Amino acid sequence: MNPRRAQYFKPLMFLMAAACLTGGYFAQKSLNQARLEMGLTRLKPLENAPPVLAFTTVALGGFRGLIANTLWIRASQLQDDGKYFEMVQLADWITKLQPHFVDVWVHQAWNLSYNISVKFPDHNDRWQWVQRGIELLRDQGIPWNPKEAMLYRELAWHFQHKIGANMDDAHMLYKNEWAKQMEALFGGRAPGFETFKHPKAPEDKERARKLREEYKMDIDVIQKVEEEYGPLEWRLPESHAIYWAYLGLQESPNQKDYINLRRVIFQSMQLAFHRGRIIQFPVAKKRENDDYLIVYEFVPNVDITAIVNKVYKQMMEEEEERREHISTGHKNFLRTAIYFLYTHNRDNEAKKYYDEVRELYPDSIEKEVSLEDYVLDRVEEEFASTSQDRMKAVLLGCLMRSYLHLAKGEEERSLGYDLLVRRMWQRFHGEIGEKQDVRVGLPTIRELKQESLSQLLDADTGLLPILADQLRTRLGPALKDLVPEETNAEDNSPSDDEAKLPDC
Amino acid sequence: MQAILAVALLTLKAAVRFRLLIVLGALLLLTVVGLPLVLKDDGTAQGFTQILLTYTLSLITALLGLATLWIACGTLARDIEEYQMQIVAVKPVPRWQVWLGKWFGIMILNGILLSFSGAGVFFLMQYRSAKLPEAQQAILRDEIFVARGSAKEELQDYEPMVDQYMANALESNPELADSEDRILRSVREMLKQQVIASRQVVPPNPGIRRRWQMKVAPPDEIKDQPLYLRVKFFTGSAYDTATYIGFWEIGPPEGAQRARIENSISPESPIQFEIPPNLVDADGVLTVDFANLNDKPLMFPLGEKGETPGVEVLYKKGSFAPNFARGIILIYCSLGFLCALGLMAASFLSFPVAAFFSLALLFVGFCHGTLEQIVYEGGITGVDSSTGKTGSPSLVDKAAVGAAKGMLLVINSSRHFFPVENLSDGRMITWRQVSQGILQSIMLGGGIFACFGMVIFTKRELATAKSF
Repeated sequence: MNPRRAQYFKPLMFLMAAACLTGGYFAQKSLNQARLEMGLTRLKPLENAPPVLAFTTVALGGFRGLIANTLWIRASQLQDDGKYFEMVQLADWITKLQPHFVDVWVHQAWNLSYNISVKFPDHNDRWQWVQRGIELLRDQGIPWNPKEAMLYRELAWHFQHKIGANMDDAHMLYKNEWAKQMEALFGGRAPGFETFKHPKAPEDKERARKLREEYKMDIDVIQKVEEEYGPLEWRLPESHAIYWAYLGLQESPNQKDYINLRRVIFQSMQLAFHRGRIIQFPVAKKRENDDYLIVYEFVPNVDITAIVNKVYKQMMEEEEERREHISTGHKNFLRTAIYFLYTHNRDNEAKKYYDEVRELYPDSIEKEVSLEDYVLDRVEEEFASTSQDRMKAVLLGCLMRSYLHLAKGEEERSLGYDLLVRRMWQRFHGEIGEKQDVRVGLPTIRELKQESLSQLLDADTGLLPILADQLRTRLGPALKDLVPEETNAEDNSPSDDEAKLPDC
Repeated sequence: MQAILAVALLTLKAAVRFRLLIVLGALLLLTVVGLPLVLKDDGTAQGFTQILLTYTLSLITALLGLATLWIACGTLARDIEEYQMQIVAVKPVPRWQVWLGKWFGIMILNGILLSFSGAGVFFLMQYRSAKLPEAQQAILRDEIFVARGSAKEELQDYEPMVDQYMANALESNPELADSEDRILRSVREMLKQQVIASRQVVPPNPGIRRRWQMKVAPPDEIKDQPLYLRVKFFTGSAYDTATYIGFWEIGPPEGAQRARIENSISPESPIQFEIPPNLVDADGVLTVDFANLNDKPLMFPLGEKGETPGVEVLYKKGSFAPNFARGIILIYCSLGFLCALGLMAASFLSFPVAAFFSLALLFVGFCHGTLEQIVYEGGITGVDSSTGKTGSPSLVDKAAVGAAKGMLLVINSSRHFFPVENLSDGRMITWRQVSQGILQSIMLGGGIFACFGMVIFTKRELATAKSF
């Protein structure tokens, strides 16, 4: 090549390359359209993907599968050897190589949250892995596959089952940690919708950004969920399970997946009813042999009884083939609702559901059994139950009733309930045995009393002021011992301790 | 020697002239500095350090390994193709010295690059860890930036016990003695498995203790140093994701201060937890008792044939910096092996063919599992499903087994000396392993290629290079 031509050769080549790239960019859209029209690909072309994802999915072409296989093999080998530090990175690469393969996301997230987390004896380490699993689905899987119901269902299941259930012995730490995060985000039970929609203060703007960008949640959707299924406690995992299942129902075009999402809502509503309210419990102490500090307590949310009842009926209509199975659940729910409502001093509502269950399921309660007799029979039944949530709910309800009777001057009945609580607590611990004490053990009677007193003496949601003052007076020094911050007790308490509860 | 050094220097100069040094240096710098920015970790400082150590060292090894193969093939093959070698060949320098000079030249280049990039990784780790909170730094000091030794239960010889059981069986059932050898072997194998199972399985009975005794180190050497128990067990269910209660009593059996640990453990892959220091007895033996408080029997492997043992103790044996240096030496040994491979290929092939040939051999090296399977099955043509082996091996099978054995000899000489896993686990790389690495990777594996390459290069007719 003569020197003059050589001088222009490289710049010319460079310009041609740039022109080809630009042309390719403009031709891409029509090529993608042609691919779809001709049915050349099963999947939609990837659009607006980050550069790394675009590179791995487009540039690697058919080699993607080979690389993904190699990474799967490496991940399995490392897992067998107990080496988990690469797992997040490998899961990231595998999902980037196969971003539209829903099972890949589901498997990788499950692996992180369920399989790997339990390999760590330290519960704090486990929580890290559960979060990584949730993040993989929420931050990557769903944004890249926003119409896949399976991913919403899986994410909701992580909240409902991994954090919400008690299958993992670190479940209390998961619940506490999640509640702490949500407390910091929402500042209480539920978000202030106006504050999140139109934040003015810098800290509100930051919280709104966090909700949107970090937790990938939409305040409008939260509001709709709250209107339809609330009042929900948004510091609890089941509310988030309901949120993601609800969002999946809105986004997924494939109706055959709806049933799985509805089931998540249905099951999460049941959970929310049984222990869907959080009581912050500042007096809880670190217990021996426990490696976490109990900060929150979970109690029944009887406010959503009517909605749960409605959801049950909806499910029976929608799932004809499982109607009998669901109706059994509905019957049990109504029986439990009577019991919870009664023990929470909501006699009228308890009576309403008592009538309903006798009407819908006449065999479930004998005709001659009165509401009160039925509730006492249920107490007997609960003696054999090893469900921590249900037993705790019953104990709290009985203690509240005990204090209510005390406030009203009915010491005998108060003492009767108190003794009943003790017998039930002892029997429960006898039933579950020492081995399971850490996992499903109840708070001590003292802690339960502190919790129920905190609720009853709460100025906004507790007893009427006159009843609260009477309770303070009758408890006397015992109140100061149980709830030291109750300064009024000092002012009002007489020296007599005739109504003082036996020391616990 | 002067001739070898002269050729080595020329090889180095060529690498600099072709800007190879700059390009490789830039790539390595990018690896050390850029990789940490794109890696995703598990959220813990420990996990991040482990993944950083693994990926940076692996990428450095891969880059230098490929570059070594490329340069080794290029420097010799292209010298021949471009007739430069003829000028050297007419000088009074034996060709094997030219070959060796090239090897030294490339290895000097590798030495420089590996030292700088290794030092970069090391100081980057130290710099990052110094910025962490004290608690995290302590974890890194104890678990990653350390050289930990490992102690396992000594394997017992079960054969005498099996012989005794076999004798008892024959005595109680005289008809058995008249059975075919095949049946007798099968009965003996069954009894052996029963004996092994009795040591592996811990029944769900709080009154029964399984005891492991492991020779760790004299008490003075590990005084106040944290110890770690690495535990692996199985249950009767495959893919069991449940957790179980681990109840451990650790320390001298008669001692007053035995540590009791109750924790939540999960099956199928190893878990690790810290145990208090100063629990070994005067002979440096650590006694670990385990009671199964669950409702299922648990099976702890014995650690036979290279499998992970049920219980293993990790303890501090040395510091990280010398361990890291030993790891770098082992990587250097692997590069020496690759360099010999590339030069051997270039001794009789043109540049592109030599590069392809050596890369193909390297790929075969990654398929060692298949080669091991060929040797185990005794052929490639078909396997008897009842025995898992080739029934009547043909000549092809025998040839395949011979070839696989030969390749495994060379591959295994360097494969077992990749140090990155040990470094990221905070495990000790001993001087003995380094000596073995030098001996096997460079002297044996590299030596075979070197001898082969030098002989061919000496015999080769350089003037007809293009005809190759």
